[in-house]
Formats: sequence, C-alpha cells, structure tokens
Amino acid sequence: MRKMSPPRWMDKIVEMYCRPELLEDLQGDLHECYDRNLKKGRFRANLIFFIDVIKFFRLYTVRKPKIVGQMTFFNLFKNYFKTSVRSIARNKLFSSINVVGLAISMSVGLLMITYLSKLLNYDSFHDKADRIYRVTTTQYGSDGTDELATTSVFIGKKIQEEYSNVENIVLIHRWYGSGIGFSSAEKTIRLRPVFANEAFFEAFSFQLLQGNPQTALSKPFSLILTEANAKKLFGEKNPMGKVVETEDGDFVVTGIIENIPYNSHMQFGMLASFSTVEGMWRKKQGSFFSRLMDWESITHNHVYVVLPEKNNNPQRLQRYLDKVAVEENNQNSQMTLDFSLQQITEITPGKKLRYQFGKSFDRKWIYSLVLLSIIIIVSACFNYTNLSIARTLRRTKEVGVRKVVGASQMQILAQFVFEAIIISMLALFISYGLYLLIRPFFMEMQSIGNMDVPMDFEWQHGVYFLVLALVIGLFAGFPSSVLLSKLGTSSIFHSIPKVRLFAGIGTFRMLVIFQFAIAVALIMGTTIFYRQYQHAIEMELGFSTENVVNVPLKGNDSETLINEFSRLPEITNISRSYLVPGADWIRAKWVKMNPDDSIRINVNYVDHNYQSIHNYEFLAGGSFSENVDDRASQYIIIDNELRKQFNFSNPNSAIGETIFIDEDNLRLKIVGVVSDFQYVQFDQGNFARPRGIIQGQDRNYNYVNLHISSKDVMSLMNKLESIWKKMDEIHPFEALFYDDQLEETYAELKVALNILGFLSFLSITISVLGLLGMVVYVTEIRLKEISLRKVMGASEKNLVMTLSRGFLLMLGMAALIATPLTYLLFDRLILTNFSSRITIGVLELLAGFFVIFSIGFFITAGQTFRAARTNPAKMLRDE
Amino acid sequence: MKGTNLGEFEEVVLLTIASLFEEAYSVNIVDEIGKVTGRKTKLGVVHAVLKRMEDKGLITSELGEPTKERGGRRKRFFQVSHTGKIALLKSKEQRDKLWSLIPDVIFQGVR
Repeated sequence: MRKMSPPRWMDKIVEMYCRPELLEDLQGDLHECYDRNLKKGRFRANLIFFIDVIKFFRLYTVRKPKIVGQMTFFNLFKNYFKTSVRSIARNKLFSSINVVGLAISMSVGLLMITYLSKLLNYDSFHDKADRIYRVTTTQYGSDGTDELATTSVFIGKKIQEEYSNVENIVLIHRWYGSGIGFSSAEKTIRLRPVFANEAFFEAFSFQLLQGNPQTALSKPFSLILTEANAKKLFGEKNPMGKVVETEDGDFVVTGIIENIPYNSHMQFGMLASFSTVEGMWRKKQGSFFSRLMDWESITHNHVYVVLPEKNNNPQRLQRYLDKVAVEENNQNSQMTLDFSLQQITEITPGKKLRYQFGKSFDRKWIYSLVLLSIIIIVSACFNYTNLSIARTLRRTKEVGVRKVVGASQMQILAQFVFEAIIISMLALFISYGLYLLIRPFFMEMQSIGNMDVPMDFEWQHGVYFLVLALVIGLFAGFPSSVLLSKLGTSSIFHSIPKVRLFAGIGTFRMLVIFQFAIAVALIMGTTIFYRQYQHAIEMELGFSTENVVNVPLKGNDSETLINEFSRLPEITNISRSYLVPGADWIRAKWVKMNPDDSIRINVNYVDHNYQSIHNYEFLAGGSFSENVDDRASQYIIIDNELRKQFNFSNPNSAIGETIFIDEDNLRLKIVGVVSDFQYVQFDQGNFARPRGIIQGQDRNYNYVNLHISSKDVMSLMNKLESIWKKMDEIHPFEALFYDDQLEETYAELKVALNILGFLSFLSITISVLGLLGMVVYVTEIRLKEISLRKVMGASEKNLVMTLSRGFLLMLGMAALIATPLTYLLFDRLILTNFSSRITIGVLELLAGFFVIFSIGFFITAGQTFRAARTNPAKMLRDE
Repeated sequence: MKGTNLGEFEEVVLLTIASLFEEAYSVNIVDEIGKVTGRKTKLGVVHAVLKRMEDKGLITSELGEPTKERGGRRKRFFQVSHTGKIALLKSKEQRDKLWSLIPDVIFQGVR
C-alpha cells in the first residue's frame, strides 16, 4: 500500500516560512502526528495538519526575510535606489526639470492611451467581427470621385441571388433628416427610421432583451426599440406587442434591443423590418421611393456581408463585385460606380466616407494625434538625455570608483537606467495628476466636433500607464547610461576639459535643435490654423447672414407658420428654403443646357422672398418676381462659376436662357447671375461645385428664414416658441442664428486648432525647461572663465554676448530648419484641403521663430547676466 | 532572579525528558506528558517550550537517525543539560523544604 502523506502544498507552506535549521525536525513531527491522525480519517488528518502548519507560524520558527541566494541582487538594487535618490536629491534643479518635463509629456501619453484604447475598440464586440464586411461605393462623376459608406439594395440582392458563398446578407435602409414621430398612447418621440432584414441579429452581436431574434424583423411594420427609447415611450409598462403610430403607418413592437454601445459604428434608436420599406416602395410608384431599388440609389442603404467561417475569402467576393460593376456600368450611362469591401473593425476609425452610419473617425486624425504625442514625449526624453550627458562630468568619479571596486559595465548601465526609471516613475505620479486635470478639457474639445468618446478609467489603463513610464524611462535613460558606463577606470584622473569633449556636445546640439525645431513648427502650425479658422468664420459669403434666424420646419406646413410669424412686429421679412447653404448638407443635381451637357451643381430650393433677406450680389439680372407661383419651379439664379461652365461670355448673356434637370423634368429659366458663393469647407470636393438657387417648391421646404429687427432676442424667441407650440405639440422649437450655424460648421477645425495649440504650448514648455537646464549648467561650469574674463576687463554686455551666442545660434538653426518645412507641409498638403484657403504670410512664417527666439533669449540672457554679475573675487578666491 | 526558577510547564517537560532518558523527542514528550499526567498538550506548545529551554541552556539536543515513519526525516532528541539538572534539583529541594514545613493536620481528610 502506498503510504498516505499530507498534501504537498501544505508542506510547501512550512518549507516557505520555516527556518532551515528547524525545518527537518518540525516537518518530521508534523508528519508523525499526521500518520497517527490518519486513523481518524484522511480529511480530519489533513485538517489537523493544516491547522498545525498555521500554528507553527511563530516568531522563533519564521525565517528572517534575508534570503541568501537573492541577497546580492536585492542589495544591489537597494544600493542603486539609494544612490539614485541621493543623486536626484543633490541636483534639485535638474531633477525637477526632468521630472516636470517628463510628467507633462507623459500626461499627453496617458491621455492618448485612454483615448486610443477606447477608439481602437470599435465593433470588436461582434462575434463574427472577423468576417463581417460592409460594401462601400465609389462614385465617379465629372467633378471627381465620391466615396460613400452606403451602397444600393440592388447590389445586396444581387449578391444574395448570384453569389453562393455567403452566410448572411444584412440589408439596411436609412432615412436622414430629423426623423419622424413615433407615438405610443402616452408619448411621442422623434427617431430616425432604420430598416433591417432578418439576418441582422444573426450577423451582429447586439443583444435582444425581449423578442425572438429569428422572427422579430420578418413581418412588415415590426418595430424593435432600444431599451432607452422603449422606456421613453412606454415607461415601466411592457412594450412587447404594443402599437406605435407614425405618419407612415402603425408599427407593432416585436423586440427590445439593448442600448447601442458607444463602440458600435452603427448608432440607431429603432429598427424596423426591411419588408416594411419594400412594401412602401411598391405602393409609392413613381415617387422617390420607387427608385430605391435601382442601381443608382446608393445613398440610403447599407449592405453587410457575413462570409462563412470556413471560406472567409473577401478577395473572391471583391472580384465578383468588380465584375458586377463593369456589367452594370455599361448599361447605365449616368453613373459610374465601383464597390469595395470594408471589414467591420476597419470602419471606425477608418477611411473618411460620406453617409456614415454613426460616428466616424478619420484614421488620419488618429495618426496625427499619435505622431504629435510621440514627438512631445521624445522631446521630453531629449531633455533628460541632454541634461544627464551634460552632467556626466559630475559622476565620472562615481563611475570610476565603482569600476575599481569591480562593477561591470552592465552593472553601471543598469544603475543609470534604473535611475532614469525612478525619475520616470516619479513623473508618472505627477502626470497622473495632470492627466486628471486636462482630461475634462480634452473631452470638451472633442465633443465640439461631435467626436466624443467616453474616457473612463479601466484597470488595463493602469498597466499601460506603467508600461509607458517604463518605456519612457528606458528610452530617456539609455543613451546617457551607455556613455557613462563606457567610462574607463582612469576617468577619475582625467582633467575636466577632456571629459567634456567626450560628452558629445555635437549630439547635444542636434537634440536641442531638433527640440526647438518642433516647437517652432508647432507654433507656426497653430498660427496658420488659427488664421485659417478666422478666415473661415469671417469670410464674406457673398450674401448677408446678419439678423437671419433659421427655423427648421420639421414637417410642418410652412404657409401656416409664416402667417402666424408674420404677425409679430419684430420680424421684418420671412422666406422659405430647402437648406441652409454653408451650414447644412448639400443637394446635388445634374443640369444641362444642351442634350450633351452634364454638369453637377449644388442646389437650393427657395421661395421668391429669399433674395430680399439674403441680399445676394447680382452680376446680372435680378431676383424672382413677387407674383410667381411658388408651388412649381420655373426660375433659377446661377452663380458666376456655373455661368462660366456653360460658356457664356458675360453674366448678361446668360439671362433668359433655359437649363434642364432631366431627373426631375424641370425647365428652369435663368433670371439672375450672382457672384460666387464663398465659404470654407474641409471636404472641398463636393462643396466647391457651382451653385444654383431654384425658385419654387420642387422639394418641400425644410426651413423658414426670418429676418429680425428686435434687440430683445430672448423675448422674441419666447414668442416664436409659443406660436410653434400651438401648431406642433410634438417637436421642440428650434431657431438658429445663421451666423452661429456657420460657426458650428467649423467645429472640427476648432477642435484641431485647440489641440494643436495645447500641444504646441506643451512642446514650448518642455523645450524651454531643457534650455533652462542647459544654460544653468553651462554658465555654472564657465563661472571661473567668466570671472577671469571680467578681471581681464570684459564688460557685462560682452560677457552676456559671448555666453548666449552659442544658444541663440542653435535657436536660429532650429527656426531655419523648421520654418521652410512647416511652410511646405501646410502650403502643399494641409491647406489644399480647404475650399477657400489663406495664403501663408510673413506673420505666420515668423511667429514660431519670434516666440522661441524671445523666450530663448530671455532665459539665456537672464542666466548669463546673473553669472556675469557675480563678483570675480568670490569665484577666484579658492585657488 | 527571573529565569533561574523553572516555570510549571517547563518543569513538567524537563522531568519528562529526564524520565524518557534517550528517547525524548517532541512527539514522544507530548505522549508521555499525556500518559503520566493526563494533560492534553499541543505539539506546538511543547515545541515552543523546548526551543525556549534550549536557548536558556536547560536542555541540549542532537539529531538522530532518519526514520521511515517521518518520511525519512531525522528526529531531534533532547537531553537535560547540567544546568537543567541543577535547576530541577533546586526546584525539588525548594518544594521538599516547603513540604516539610507543612503540619500533617492540614491534609487530614484530603488524603
């Protein structure tokens, strides 16, 4: 029989704590007792053994925490720690410059870590994320290409019918605008309708809290609400099976879906069955809806394809799509289309596409943020490297003695790297505080551009933070540590100048120049961006927006509202429009004058009063006549650009001509030519098209434009709101000053400006800190030289000049390198994205140089002046 | 002086070691105490006392041969040292002296 023995882990505990000289005896006793206790049963014996193990944990049995094997290692680190702390404490100025610089840069790093860890997490929660692909569309027109996140239902159905190797096809149809009202018995809320077919829940991993995922989207007029919206509509009652009324028909609630997580690229408040919309299309023959199944209808639908697990081959599907595109392009003359596949995790952050299904982040935006923060961090690391190389001199003796005593090069290296890591850990502490301070500002900044991502702390971030601090410590400490560890034992006996030569002033200069070049570039960039932003909001649009308030109609009848509004004396004039140019979306149309023309223009539909409010500058002709019937579109005002494209020699010759919009069967007579409409958009391609202002109501008006004369805006708004409420109980009243709307359009620009400004401020701080450290250090070593020069008769002015010349030269070099590069970057790459851009002037070019040079001069002059003022007798006395 | 006099339990252990002669090791001591006095003692307690007395120099110890029952581990055998013997004798002497002073009348009826 095998001998029974107590569990091994219990023995291990004893072995762990017990002093080795007592161990054998004690363990033996325990085992003997155990053997006896076995009679009472194995379990009891184990239990008693365990209790005894715990009980023997006494002062006299427990070993002291000195472990022979690890002692040298441990002591070495204790020693490193001690010397590091002492050296940090001895050089308070240098240490604090290092710690503060690293902390500032690290706080940016922490910010980026939290931001990116959230951002890169998009759509990863779908189980099939690796094989869900979205079909995107590229549209080629005469005015360039347009990349869309949407595609046609046509292509989705075609894949379903012809291409065998797919697991699921999800078809989604989406309505834009402010949505439609959904009413329960108690309440009405406004939601943007989204329709999806049954495959939706098979493909995506959204949780259906109530309802059957297989059938919830099968019947027409089935409705799935998000948890939050179900609560809004039905309160605490169970919404399942209840009826929800809309102007387009009554829906039945067949499911409740979890609230859409922030990290989903698709954001929606409700889902209705795709069969609903198919029914609608069939009914509304001849209208906009009836064409939604067509090849050209590419702006309202998304198609997602789930490829099978075993045959996840998107290239094959891509080849099929290319084939379909070629076939169909041959049949359809008006549009040339191309399709591509986008894996679901590549959507956000991803390529910039139009008609995204929720928030989207441009990859470029993320790359530039990461690049900028790395630059800031590297810049702070350079401070550390510079200052510690400069201080090499003071520690040569220490290194020499250590080597004589027997330290290896590796050990010295480890010691100095260890010191750098201690500094970076200290910096981590401070940077966490800074991070907490700047996080709210950062979140506010990004929320302006509607790109906010939650930034709550998760435990993984703690790990990332530590890793960041470690990496920064290693990176910052390594170069100087290598230099120091290479010093020979004889370095103790070297005279001072020799060591300083060795310390590599060349590298030091390069690093400082690099640092300042970055600062100069960032300041320049910020100034240029600021000027562009100012330019955008202050630009002459070519028409007047002053005192114009736009009220979104939200589906209400414009006539009644105008009747009510016009009774108010504060309102001097009222017009109606389809959209708000410059602040709104665009609507594009193909226009022609001769059968073979084809020009894409951006259009707006307005009533005859529009011109009297907005005061366009006419080059020829005039506005629409007062007594024209606004229910039919008959006239158009074109801009000068379109006049040129139609080859009219001057504005006057265009008046009276007719242009055609075939798709809407419109014949429009040109009544006026206005000067080009100027405004700035980052996405210039589509916004820079020629423009036409069409009279009449071919599209329903979306806005009422009010020209107001009142000074008391608040009371006017209240009056308008009370009128609105009488007409429309459902939708909240909204009124926006045109000027404010325009400013909002530039929010993205503003975010970029804020972040760039913030980063350049940090970069300046860091490089200035580094410069301060270097200047203090250099003047300190040269104090004797200064004193001697002074004794020999140099004036204070002379001394300041000699001392600061070197530094100012470096600053000049930095500016010389950075200025042309930044100029080229902005002039050739960044500003070309704007439809109306500034030219970079002398002020912007010199801004960075000026700021850096003045701060640099202030610091060097201040320090050197102090040195020059010291009494030479004091300095020279000790020798 | 403190430490020159034996504690009650120390004395019991010391006596037991002496009585076990060459077979005195921790587990055996616990058993013997139990057998002779009927007191249930814990191994941990005895261990601590043995350690303390060894530090005081009352007992000496040496490791014996490995035995099978303890998984090949050696036993630590204890012996009363010279100091220990003197302490025991001194203690006995004190008690005898005190006993001799007690009039027999006191224990009448108890015995």
